Amino acid sequence: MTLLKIENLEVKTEEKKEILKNINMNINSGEIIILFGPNGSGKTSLLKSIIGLPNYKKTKGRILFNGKDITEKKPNEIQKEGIALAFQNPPEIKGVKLKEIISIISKNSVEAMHAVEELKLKKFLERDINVNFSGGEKKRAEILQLLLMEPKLLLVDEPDSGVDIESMKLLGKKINDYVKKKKASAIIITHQGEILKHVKAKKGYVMLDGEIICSGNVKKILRSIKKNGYERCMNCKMLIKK
Amino acid sequence: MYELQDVNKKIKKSLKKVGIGNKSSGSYVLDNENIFLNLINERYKKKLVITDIREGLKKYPWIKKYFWKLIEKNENNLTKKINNDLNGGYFIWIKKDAKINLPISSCLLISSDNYEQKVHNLIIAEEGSEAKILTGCTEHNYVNNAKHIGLTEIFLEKNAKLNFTMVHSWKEDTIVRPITRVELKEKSEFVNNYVCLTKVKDIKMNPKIICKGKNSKAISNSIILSKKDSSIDIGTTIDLMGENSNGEIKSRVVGSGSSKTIVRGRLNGKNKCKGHMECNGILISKDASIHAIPELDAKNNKAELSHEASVGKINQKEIDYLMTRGLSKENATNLIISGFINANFLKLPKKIEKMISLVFKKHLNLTEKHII
Ligand SMILES: Nc1ncnc2c1ncn2[C@@H]1O[C@H](COP(=O)(O)OP(=O)(O)OP(=O)(O)O)[C@@H](O)[C@H]1O
Ligand SMILES: [Mg+2]
Repeated sequence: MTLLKIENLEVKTEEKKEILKNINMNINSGEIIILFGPNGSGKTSLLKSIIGLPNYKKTKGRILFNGKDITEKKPNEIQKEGIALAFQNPPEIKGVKLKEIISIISKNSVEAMHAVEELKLKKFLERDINVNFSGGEKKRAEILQLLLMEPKLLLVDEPDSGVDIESMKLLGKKINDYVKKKKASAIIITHQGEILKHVKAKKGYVMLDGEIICSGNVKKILRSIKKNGYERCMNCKMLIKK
Repeated sequence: MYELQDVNKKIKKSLKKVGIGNKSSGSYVLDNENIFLNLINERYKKKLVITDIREGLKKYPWIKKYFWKLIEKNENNLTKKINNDLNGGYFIWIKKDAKINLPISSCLLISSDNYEQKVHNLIIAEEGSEAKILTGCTEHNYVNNAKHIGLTEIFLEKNAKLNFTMVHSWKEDTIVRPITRVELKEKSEFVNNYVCLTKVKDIKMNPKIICKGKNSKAISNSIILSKKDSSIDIGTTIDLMGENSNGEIKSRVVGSGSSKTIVRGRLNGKNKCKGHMECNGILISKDASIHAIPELDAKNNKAELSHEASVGKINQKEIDYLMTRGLSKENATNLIISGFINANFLKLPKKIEKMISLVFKKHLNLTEKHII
């Protein structure tokens, strides 16, 4: 069953700069898909557009979630529909404690505390969110919040960048277990594909210059990128023809 | 130990607005010109005197040498008015080496329309004493067009420590003119906190703290939430006269509605001294304005004075982030603002901080009409 359907999406920034075009995507319930692409190709912009951030103006196309049109909805409305985003670079908010956000988003405080301990974030509860957190600590705090929101679709932006091997294993396992248990879906962005050791994903997409240029078996795509870089993607056989 | 349980309900409600009502070491409540409440906790009877200034001057004639010492009677129209027609005020005397753990609370209330309340307060913190004074000014909900003129003279003797926290909760049409002068002797430490979270018609104040003694230290913090069409002009001046004296001025201002806020700060370095000033403002509506005026005036080449200031919009990225966590724009803004003007910035004892946080919560309910 299709959970998320993106049709012919075009996105521009406030300054009218086009950052996404001709985006078509289909994600089924229970499916994890992987998004590849060089720096600046538009991966993060795609996730931010799905979650409805106001800087990303949808000038064409639409996004359907569970058959419902969410193209014009606000982030908090989209979150309530069951989509949650773990940021690549979350902002630091002075004076707002991690604990406060956890208590706002979590439905069950016992389970929340359990997750906090599992992700080794107990020490950080009293700290201002992301302020002076290390790179890895930010990632753990993002995944914690992501899971506590209990979404049907997880948008995970580079969970494996700058994270030590042990933490990566932990984060990967938490995401995979959650998806399995809740029959949820996920879009995960990765560069090196490290996270693939810990999550079950079959399908991959490659983005280039704001477009999805190919999709296919995730392992094949990763192997090809690692071997030939993204240049080859341009002429690759899997290239999606319009 | 007593609580303000015998105070009639209406007044109790007014006191709650300014965070007063918990256990105190002593209290003074003035209603127009009538002393409504004047109590001292048994435990502190030997260490502390709290009384109406008019009685104080009769009972302790020696305080006359402090009365009108830091400001001239003819300084301006306001001082003239207070001198000509005094409606009351408190005299707080914290005796030598007294350590007063519970806050001393005072409240100046106005309970009739068009009333102009003129008070003169005097605080003497003797050598080695330590105390916290929590003072609130407010009026009853039914009062219109009130004016409050309050002069406060504060003296800290050698090694004295005093935290003076003022929470204002005036009604929308009140005009407020507090005048504060503070003198610090050797090694004494003074913390001045000012909190204003409700709309006021017009408030103007600029307390002056004179660090006269060697190694004396003054900290002045203000937290201001300017609402609707409030007109607020507040500041602090610290005169650093004593050798190695130290001054710090910090303010956090949130401008909403069509409010106009001027935040001043002035450090006068007249000896070998250190001073630092920080002013941060957030504008959450397009018609609000914040004008920060930090001034440094060094008259001694061993004075080290510095300042930083920032005024701007709330960070959109922070709002976006919290919205992805399910918060509406209004709730996200409230959360960010409550972090920005957190009571913990006032460095108060935990108990008072909690009380004030409750007041904050109540006033921080910014709705769509406050925000862009
Ligand atoms: N809000 C914005 N305003 C202007 N330009 C933007 C905005 N967001 C993204 N861009 C631009 O769009 C392009 C895509 O950015 P995006 O962050 O989506 O890349 P990415 O694929 O996630 O890259 P990385 O791998 O480095 O994270 C970049 O050129 C970026 O500078
Ligand atoms: Mg990115």
